[in-house]
Amino acid sequence: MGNYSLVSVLLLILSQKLVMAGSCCGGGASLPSLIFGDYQAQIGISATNLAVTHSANASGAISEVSANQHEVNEVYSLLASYQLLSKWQMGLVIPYKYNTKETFSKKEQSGGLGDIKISAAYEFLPEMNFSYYKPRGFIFLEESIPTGYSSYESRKTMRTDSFGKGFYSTSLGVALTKNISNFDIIVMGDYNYNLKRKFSDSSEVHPGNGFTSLISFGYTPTQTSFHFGVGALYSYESSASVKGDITSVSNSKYTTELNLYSSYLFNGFSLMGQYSDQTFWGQSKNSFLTKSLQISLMKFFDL
Amino acid sequence: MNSANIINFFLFIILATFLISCGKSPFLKTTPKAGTNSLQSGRETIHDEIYLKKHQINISSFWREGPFIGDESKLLIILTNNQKVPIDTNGELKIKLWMPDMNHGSYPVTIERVGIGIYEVKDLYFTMEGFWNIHFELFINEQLVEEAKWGITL
Repeated sequence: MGNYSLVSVLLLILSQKLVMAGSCCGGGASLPSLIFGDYQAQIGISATNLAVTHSANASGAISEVSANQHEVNEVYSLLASYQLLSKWQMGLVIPYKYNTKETFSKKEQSGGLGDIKISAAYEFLPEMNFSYYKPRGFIFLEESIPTGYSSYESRKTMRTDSFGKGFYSTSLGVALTKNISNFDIIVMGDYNYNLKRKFSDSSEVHPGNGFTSLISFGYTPTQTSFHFGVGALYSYESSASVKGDITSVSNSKYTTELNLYSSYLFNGFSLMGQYSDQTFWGQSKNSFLTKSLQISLMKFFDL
Repeated sequence: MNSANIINFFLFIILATFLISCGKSPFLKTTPKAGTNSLQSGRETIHDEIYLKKHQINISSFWREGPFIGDESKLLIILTNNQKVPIDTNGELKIKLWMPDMNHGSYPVTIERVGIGIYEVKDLYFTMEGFWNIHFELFINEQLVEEAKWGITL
């Protein structure tokens, strides 16, 4: 099992990690799950524990959240990708979310299905021969289906029953990977378009659109099955508007994130752990910021 | 599924169990504390600040509980005319919480009339920190005819 297995694992982890955000807002950016190795299919399960630790206001000032309010999101996901033809593949992510908010006097918890994501990808830059500079490239399209209850449909006082964005969301992007010796690099970016939607309280929400970019560097020690990596991610969403009894235009928002990960390959499986921190770079605006831990188990099926 | 796969699966389950925390996180070391949930900036009352101009109604508001982040806050509001005499409206007064930076509201607010021009406002849930608008909306025949708002930062 080569380095591309490790790359696949990382991207699968990122693909479903990014669907998370604070329960208030449900959404977040997303990148698709892709097969980067010579496999027919890959499936996986993951568990994530994510805590809201800081907030960035509309002018970009970052502060710790109130000591009286704890918010923790646990996410359990099924991930699958299948190679249909030599250059075409499709993927699926099904998340289950369990949100908790707790104050000194009250605790509220809710669990439910998040937004299901379906993706298709085409390998436009195959790696036929070794090259020091030419990367392997994929173009992908992902559709997020609002299967999760959103903050606009929430019925609980602390809004823990918000598991999704509430909108159909389409992403178009490019992923490039390159392995040289024991090192690998991934560069990904996508543009995200969200469809407007009218909710039962008669308000019509025009969500913002945005983009996500990621760069990641990995290292595999010689003659080991371990892999270590570090990544940086930037996610931006433009302002959104609401029309109804209340007419409002929100501020745009962005977050930056540090990812540290390690994985171990064995018997056609990969076990991976990851730490993510949205406070590390200190550059975010109009968003809650989180720290999370995640473990995943992936199974690869050969062609 | 062979024995190696079964072992791997259970290995994952054991590790995942460490992340099944029933709402706890290693990044939140303390439990929520009393007395840390209070107004951080803004004003304790909005006395004479809110005015429905077309209908010449003053709205004076006093925090009965809060404002809190997460927990329920309560307001007492008194509607008066220009002679400072408490009055009832000829329509329906609704109050909504709205977070403009994030573009979302909160749990539906309950308003109970306790006397002429005096109302207790319950179920005010500021679900997160940040800037909130409290919208005072006057509806007549189910049509929004006038609105005033008060902003606070929590």
